[in-house]
Amino acid sequence: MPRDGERRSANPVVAGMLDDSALRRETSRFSAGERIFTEGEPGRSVYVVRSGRVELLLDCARHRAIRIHLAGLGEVIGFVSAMTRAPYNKTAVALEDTVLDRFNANDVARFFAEQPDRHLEALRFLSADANAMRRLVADAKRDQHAHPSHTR
Amino acid sequence: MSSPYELRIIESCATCKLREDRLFCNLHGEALAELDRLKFSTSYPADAVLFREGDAPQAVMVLCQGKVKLSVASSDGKVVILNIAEPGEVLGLSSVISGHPHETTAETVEPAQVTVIRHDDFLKFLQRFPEVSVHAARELSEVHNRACAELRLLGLAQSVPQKLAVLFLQWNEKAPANLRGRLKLSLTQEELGQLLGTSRESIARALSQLRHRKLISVQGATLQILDEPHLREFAGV
Repeated sequence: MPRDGERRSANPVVAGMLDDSALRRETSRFSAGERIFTEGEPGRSVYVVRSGRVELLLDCARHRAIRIHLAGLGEVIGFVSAMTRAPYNKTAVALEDTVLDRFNANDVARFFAEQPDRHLEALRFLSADANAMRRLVADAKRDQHAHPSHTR
Repeated sequence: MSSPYELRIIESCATCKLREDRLFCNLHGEALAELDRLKFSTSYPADAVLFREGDAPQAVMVLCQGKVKLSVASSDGKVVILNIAEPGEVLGLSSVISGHPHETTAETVEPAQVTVIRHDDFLKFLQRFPEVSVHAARELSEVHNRACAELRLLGLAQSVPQKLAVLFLQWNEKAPANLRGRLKLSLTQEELGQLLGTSRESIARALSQLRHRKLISVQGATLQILDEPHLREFAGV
C-alpha cells in the first residue's frame, strides 16, 4: 500500500518497486546542498524521491560539473548502477530539503531479474534514459554550433 | 570468406574470435546457439543507411565490423553526429525495447558487417534468456556512459583544437595495439564538425593548428599522431 501522502508513480519501474511489500525500503532525509552519492562510488542504493528535488551532476575536470537532470517527486535515481552492478555514473545532490525512499541496490536488481516482464520494464526505463542522454548531447552540440563563443 | 566490400565475413557468433571482448554478444551455451539460429548477417558499403530517424524499429543490429555514425537532424536540416559506433555496439536496441521510432539515423562510414535480429525474435530472445537481458541492460548503460563522456568533453568548453585533440586521443586508445599512432580518418571535415558541434571551417583551422604544432600529420585518409605526450598536454587530459 502506498504510504500517506505518497502518490503512485506513473513510471512502471517506480510503481513496481513501491507496490511490492517484499522490497524493503527506508526513509532518508537530506538537507539542501547535501550530497546523496558521488560519481564513482559503488552503487549500493536506489532512491525514489518522495519530496524535494535532487540535482544529478556529471563531474568534469577542473572542479566543474554539468547538471544533467533535476529529479522530482516519484522519480528514481541510482537505478542504472543497480541494474548493471556498476558504480554511480553521476553525483546526486539535494537541491532543497529532500525526502527519499532508499532501497538496497542488490534487492532492486534481484526484484527486476526475477521476472522477465519486470526486467523488460527495467530495460524500457534504461532505453528511455539512454535516449534522454542522447538528446542532451544533441542539444549541447547544437548549442555549441549556434553559439561558438561558448567555446573558448 | 570475403564479401563485395573486402570484409572478412564472420559467419557464426559461436566461432567469432572477437565475441569475448564484446559487451552484448559475449553469450554462452544455449543463448549463444539461439543467437546464431535467429540472426542473419549482412554487409554494407560505406555511406549505407541502416535506419533513419523516425523509422519504426524493424530489428536490432550488432555491428560486427566497420564503423557507423549515429546522427540526428534538427527541423532546419542541421545534422549533429552523436556517436561513431564501433564493432560490438548494438544499434537500434533502445527503439526495439521501447517500441518507439528510431531517434537517430545510422549510416556506415566505411564498409561494415552487421548481425541482424528481427524485432519480435529479439524480444522473445530477451524474455527467454536472462543472460541476454542482462547484456542488453549493460549495453544500454554503455549508451548512457558514452553520452556522459560526450557531455564531459563538451562541458569542458575547450577550444575546437583541444576538442579535436581529445577526440584523436580517444580514437587512438580504442584502436587495436598494432594500429595505434596511425589512424584511419573515416570522417570528412564536415562530419568532424557535426561530431564536435562546430563548423567545417573551424575543424580545418584546428587541424592546421595541430599540424603546425607538429602534434599530428594528415596524409589522405591517414592521421598520424606524431607526439602523443604533447598532444595530451595540449588537450588538457
